[in-house]
Parts: sequence; structure tokens; C-alpha cells
Amino acid sequence: MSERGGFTLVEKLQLALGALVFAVMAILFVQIAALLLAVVLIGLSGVLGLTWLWRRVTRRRNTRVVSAAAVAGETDQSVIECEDVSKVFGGLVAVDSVAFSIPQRSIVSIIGPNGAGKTTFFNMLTGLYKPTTGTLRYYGVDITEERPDVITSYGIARTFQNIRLFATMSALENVMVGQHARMKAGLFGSILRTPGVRREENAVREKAAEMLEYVGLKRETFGQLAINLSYGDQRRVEVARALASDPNLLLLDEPTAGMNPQESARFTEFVKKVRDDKGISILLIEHDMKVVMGVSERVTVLDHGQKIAEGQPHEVRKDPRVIEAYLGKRESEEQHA
Amino acid sequence: MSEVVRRFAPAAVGVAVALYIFDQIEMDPFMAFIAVALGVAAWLLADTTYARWIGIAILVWAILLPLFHDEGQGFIDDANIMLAYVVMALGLNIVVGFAGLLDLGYVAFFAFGAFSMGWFGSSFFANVNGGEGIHIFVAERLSEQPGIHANFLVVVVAAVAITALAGVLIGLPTLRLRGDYIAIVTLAFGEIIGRVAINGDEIGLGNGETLTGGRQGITPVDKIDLPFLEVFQSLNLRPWYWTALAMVLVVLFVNFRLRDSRLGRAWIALREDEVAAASMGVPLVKTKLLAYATGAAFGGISGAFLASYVNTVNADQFQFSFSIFVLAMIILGGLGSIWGVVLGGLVLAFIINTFIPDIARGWPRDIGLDFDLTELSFGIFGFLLVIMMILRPEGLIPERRRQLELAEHVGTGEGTDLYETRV
Repeated sequence: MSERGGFTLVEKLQLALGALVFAVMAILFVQIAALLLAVVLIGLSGVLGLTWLWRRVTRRRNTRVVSAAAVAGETDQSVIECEDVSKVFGGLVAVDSVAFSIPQRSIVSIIGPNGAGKTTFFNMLTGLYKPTTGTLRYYGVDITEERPDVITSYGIARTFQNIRLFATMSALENVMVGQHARMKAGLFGSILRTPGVRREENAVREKAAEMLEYVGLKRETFGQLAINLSYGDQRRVEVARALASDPNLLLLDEPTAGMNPQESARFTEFVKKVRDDKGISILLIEHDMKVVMGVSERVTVLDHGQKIAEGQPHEVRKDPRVIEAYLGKRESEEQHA
Repeated sequence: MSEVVRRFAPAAVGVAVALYIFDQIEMDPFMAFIAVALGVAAWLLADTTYARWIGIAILVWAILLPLFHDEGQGFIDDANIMLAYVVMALGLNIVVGFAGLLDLGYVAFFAFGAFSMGWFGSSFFANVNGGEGIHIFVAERLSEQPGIHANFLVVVVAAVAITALAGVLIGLPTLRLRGDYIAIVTLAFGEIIGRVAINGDEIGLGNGETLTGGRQGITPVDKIDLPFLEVFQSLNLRPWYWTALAMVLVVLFVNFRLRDSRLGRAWIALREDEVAAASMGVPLVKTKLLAYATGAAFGGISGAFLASYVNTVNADQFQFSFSIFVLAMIILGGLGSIWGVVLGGLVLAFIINTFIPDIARGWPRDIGLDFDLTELSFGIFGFLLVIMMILRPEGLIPERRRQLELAEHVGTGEGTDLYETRV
């Protein structure tokens, strides 16, 4: 039977054994390889993770990014310069290739109908969103990829459209948090409360009170919880909190929302005063045309994420595309007719 | 009339509950009387300038307390466990109460602390150094034994380092998460550490050593051995009490200091509004990781103490239910409120440690029911929390008080007096 069948029984057994050994070897090999791979992967990811963490935690806060000359206004460099900035959410283009700049010590407004991408633009400036395309420059330094807190430490501060105070903290504490980026106290310094930390703490508390006074809050309300303050006072505290971080650029997101005409008018004066007192630039998002026209030196109009007009307030007001965006097409056609 | 009732009824209930607890843990009647007097004084005068004197009086009372009791058992035994739990609750309070990161895996840090004690303070690693053992600043008596034996202070430092690192590790995957999702990740982390503790007796470290003692546990564990003092004994519990009290004081001190600092404000800001905090210059990653690490370190200290005190590091101690237990303490006391957490820790530690197993255990049998109340302990917890949520959702001593205190603090704070100097 051996001649016809090709293999003897012994040979078949040997073959079977060989195959078995091979299979076992293969399985073992695969397992060992998988184990090795796992070890290498875990090790690698561990190393990568730790380096990433180390980088993130120790990333140098380059607070001296802005040259003193630029801040003092000796050069005519723009505070902010944006090129081709876009933000896409899924299929929605919220901001579409906007170019934009803010000159030194100026008050600039962004206006536009609801959903025009104004707040999205703000969020990109402050690092809350990363732009899909384009670059943002602050005094010529690229801040496109920076974290929000780093951008704040560079000197850009903001308020929010719907007030976002720290509800269970007092007005004073809110403003003290605003100075976080300007403080040094660390974990152990805070526990031991070294003389340096104590001095810093006192200075920060005093400056917070100063800021609250500056925005016109009454002293009796300094200690009240933010959530218990009146609406107007909450707005004030938000501005004080932003100012406390010593910004070179202050971003105000619809600051007069919910104010009556007199309050708005007073606020307009206040914005000018801030600019003159602190020598900073201010960027406003606003719906109230009176405020915009009264305070801005330049107005940018956004609609559907695109910049449709830019210029002096009185120019922008007459721009047919702006009128169209605000009032609709037919009426603007009628006006032209 | 109703106003009077509304104002004083909680205090009356509080006094009654306190007296009951004092009675059950066999506190000396004289000291119990003083405790109630001090408690009432603290309640009435918390916002005045007398608060500091009351604080000192309470401290003196707490230090003298063990001298009025039997040194070997009873009251002091209960008190030690209660104090250790308070340390843990204060640690978790930093993570959950201050920074608002819901951590359901706190037991992991208890485990790391306990294992630090087990690894560096017992004969568990019997083969190290060729069976001679490693001894770091320990008493004569221990220096003959195999295994690693380190001075308790060294162990505490190791526990703090290990748990802080573990805190950072658990923090990393949660950095991009918010709210409930953090809870899920931390819960899983606690479970993982618990499983590793149970199965660690199968994980060899070479040289015949294993990672943990599994369910058998690591036992015996060295008694606390502090410089210039004799090694603690299990028959004299007073030194243990004073050590636990010292731990509570240190942790309290750190809690207060951190709360009123740049870091504490950043934590609370983070809790209130993460986006606004980031926009105000608070670095989210660093601040969150610091919260995890600090909170974890306290759990580690307490874990090391408890391991030594109960003389075993047993995997069955590290159950998920323990995380919930510590969380319940701070919710009962008042999230973020330091004194509230202390109170909540004391009350719940009493309930789980004394009330249910020793006192109320037989009640169902007394009325003819065929079960043991210990089987229901988590039912009792849940019931308590539900009652709390209905009657006083903000906790026994809510955090808001501190805000009112702070309003006055602006004027009366040490150093500069804002109201005076700036007018």
C-alpha cells in the first residue's frame, strides 16, 4: 500500500506531527509576536504620552511675546492680523476666508445678522476654536495653534455674549481669577503661603477691587456672589474680569445686549474711556447700531461667514450689500429703484 | 414662632444626633458635653471674630480627648477610623468639591496608599536583598526581619508620590471629557486597580515575589514608627489617635490654604465654567491634573495609615462601594465645604463603622425579621442620601457660607484692609 498511496503510515504520522508542531509553533510565534508588539506599542505609547504631557505642562508661556515698542504704539504694527481665516463645522462654513486686522489703539466693530459667524470668529481669536484654514497673528506672532489660556497670557481678553461669570464666586474673586495668568503662586507656595505669595495675593485682591471700582460697581457688592448680582452689574464684572488680565486687546461680545438706550449710551462712553485710559485696542461685536456707529472707528460686516463690507461707519451704513444683508433683497431693490 | 422653629430645629436635631453618636461610641460624658457646647458656640459665632478662639478650643478638646478614654479599645478605636476617613473625604473634596471632576474611583488611591505601606512596611517582599531585607530608619526590633521596612514618614512620602502619579494617570484620559463621562472613566480606573489588587498574587515580580497579597492580603503590616517615638502598639491606641488627628489637621490646613489661593480659585472657576476659565488664563490640563494629584495624595496618606492600623492590606478592602462611600461623605457634608466634609465624614464613618455593624445589626431580628442589617448597609446609605437631597440638598454645612464669610473677609483680612485703606 505504500507504493500506491505515496506515504507510509509512519510517514503520515510524521507529517501530521510535523504539521501539528508547525501549527503550534505558528500559534506560539503569533502569540509571541503579538506579545512583543503589545509591549512595544504600550511602551511606545507610554513614552509618547509622557513626552506629550511633559510638553503640554511645561510649554513655556511666552508672555513677553509682544515687544514693548509695539505695545507703546511706537510701531504701527497691527494688534491682530488675520489672513484667509475659515472655520468649517461639518458641512457648514461658519467663517469663510476672512481677512481682518485691528490697528493699534482703535475701536473696531464686527456686525452682521444672526448666524453670520461673528462669535465663531471671536472664538478663533481667543483660541477656543482652531481655524480650519488661515493664520491669526498677534503683533506679528502666530497664535493660530495656541491654547486659550496662553492667548490670554499674551494679552487678549474677552467677555461673552451670554454672561459667563463663575456663579458661586464673589464679584471680587471673579476678577481675581481674571489675573490668573499674571500670577506666579504654585501648589507648594500656596500651601506654605510664602511672603511672596502673600504679597502677590494682596496685590491681586487690591487690583481686583480697583478694577471693579473702575467699571462702576458699588463697594457693598464686591463680596456678593456673581449669580446674585443684577444683570447690569454682571456685565460690569465681566468687563472688569477681562480688564484684570492686563490685555492689549479687549474683545467684547455684544456687551450692550439687554441694556436700555441710556445704559447703552453710557456704555459707549465707557468703551472710549477704557481705550483712552488703558491705551488698548477694543474689538466689539454688536447688534445695536447706535452703539456701533457711535463708538467704532472701523466696522466690518459679516454675512454667512463672509466679509461683505469694511470701512468707516458712515460708509458701511450706505453699502447696498449691507442693507441687503440686514433688510433683505426686495427692499434694497426698491430703494435703488 | 415658625421662624424660631425653622431656625433652631436643625440645630436641636443636630445636638440630639451628636449626643446619640457620642453615647454610642462611648465618649466620656464630660467631653461629650463640652463637644456639644463647642458645637453650638461654633454654630452661633462662626461668622464673628470669636471663630478663631472656638477653633482653638475645639483643637485643645480634640487633643485632650483620648486621655479621658480607655487606651486600648472602644471610643479611640472608632475615633481613629473616623479620622482616617475624614482625611480621605477631604482629599476627594478637592477633586469633586473644588474642581468639580466627579471621581468614582477614589478607592484606587486608598489602594495605592495601603499598598505603599504593605510594600515598604512589612515582610511581604521576603526575598529582597537575599532574605536580609532592606531597612530604612526603623526601630531595632524590625531591623532583623526580612522584607522592606521603612520609617512611617518615608512610607508616607512614597505613598504621596505613588498616589499623586496615579492621580495624574487617571487624570490624563479624562482631560477631554466633562461631567458624567469623567465619572465613567474614573469608575473603570477604580475597578481596574481593585482587580489588580485581587489578582496581583499571580503577578510575579521575579525572585519569588508577587505584586499584591491577593485576597489573603499582606499581613502583618508594621506598626507606625515615627522618629523619636517608640513604635506604636496595638494595645495603646492613643498615639494612633494623635497621629490621625495630626493628619486631619495637616490636610485641613492644606485644604484651607489651597482654597483661598490662586490654585483654589482656578479649581472653582473650572467647576463653574470651563470655557470661561480657559479664556481667563487658567490652563485646563495643568489645573485639572494638580487637582487629581493633590486629592489622590490625601487618599494615599490615609490609606497608608489605615493599612498600618488595621494591620492588613487585603484586596477585599478595595471595592467600588468604598468610592461611593467616600463620595457620600462629601455629598452629605456639602460639596466643596471643608467643615461640611469633615462633619459628613465623621457621621458616615460612624454609621458604617459603628452604627450598622455594632448597634443596629440585630434590630430586624428583634422585630422578628430574618436578616441582618449589615446586608442592608448600602440601602441605608441610599435612603440617607435621598432624605438629604429632599431636606437639605446643599449638604449639612453648605459651601455658600464661605462665600458670605469671604464677603467680610475682604474687609477684615490680615495685611491690607481694603475698605479702610482704599477709601
